[in-house]
Amino acid sequence: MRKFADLHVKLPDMSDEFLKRLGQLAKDMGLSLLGVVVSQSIDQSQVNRIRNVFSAIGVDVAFRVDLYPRSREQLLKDLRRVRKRFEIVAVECRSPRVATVAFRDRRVDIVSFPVKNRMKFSRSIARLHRGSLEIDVAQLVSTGELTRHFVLSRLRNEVSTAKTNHVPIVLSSGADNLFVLRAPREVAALGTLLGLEVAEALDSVSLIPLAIIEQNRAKLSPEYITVGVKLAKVKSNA
Amino acid sequence: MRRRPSRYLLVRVLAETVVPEETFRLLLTESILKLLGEAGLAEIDPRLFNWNENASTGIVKCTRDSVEKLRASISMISGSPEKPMCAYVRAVSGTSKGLKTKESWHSGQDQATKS
Repeated sequence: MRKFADLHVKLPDMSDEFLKRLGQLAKDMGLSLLGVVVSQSIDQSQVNRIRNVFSAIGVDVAFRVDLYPRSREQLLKDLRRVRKRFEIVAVECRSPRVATVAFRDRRVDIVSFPVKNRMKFSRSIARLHRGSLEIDVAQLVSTGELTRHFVLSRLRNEVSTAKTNHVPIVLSSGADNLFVLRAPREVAALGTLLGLEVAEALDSVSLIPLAIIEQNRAKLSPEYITVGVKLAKVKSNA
Repeated sequence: MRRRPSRYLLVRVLAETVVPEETFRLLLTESILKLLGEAGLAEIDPRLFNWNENASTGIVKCTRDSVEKLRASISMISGSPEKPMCAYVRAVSGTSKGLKTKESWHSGQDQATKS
């Protein structure tokens, strides 16, 4: 049976009660993994508490940090600081220079181009890809000042460019409260409206995000040394 | 003429207040119209029944080939800024009886009795 993940859930409230409600809802919707956005300064005790609340419900949790760099230098500095602490590193691109570096740097897992920004996901950026492109369906659900057809059109263009250049697409809810969280199959159904085939859309909410987490957890484990090299056994002195 | 094959979706609504059947029916129709237009609404041909107000669950019947479109429309239901809500599909079946025998239906009923 397919396992589903939503890699972009913001926590407006860190209380145990809210986390339990969120976990229960995610489980009811069929999600087995949630990627929760936390601040860069979060301490280990908070991380453990959140992980315990979700694991008691039966939902796996991955910690994600969102970067909003204004320049290439700031992005590189932020990456050095956060990469070894979080399971997901996502970059919101606001300029072509940041997008170029973010897409080329393998420390970046997910790159996004929110519709509200003027910066578009172009073919020249897509060609550099090492990470995945994230599309939040929250942009479609509440479009704000933009019209829905405009948002749909922009997202369809992004999907088309990504597919042409074989960029993996991650579909997420982008939820910032309980009412914006969406079930994975519904998110995939929206993906089909954006131009994905049914199988591709389902992969975008299951195989692709789960592969990112699996890969990063392996990298963060103490056995990991470098790409293709890991510590198999330690010789004991006794 | 041969009958068009159908699918039955068990839909649950998450809201802070009780959602009456008529309200959800209107929201669903509006959502499909806004996303897919009248042609889409005719193609999906949604019918809402067995609405349980306490559990905020009900069954939506649609044509077999339009399940994905109905799912997409359901996910666009967000209520209003004052009364936010979200809807999601808990199970899909070829018959409404099959849906009622599924565990997900009973858990919905259980939650209704608890609240």
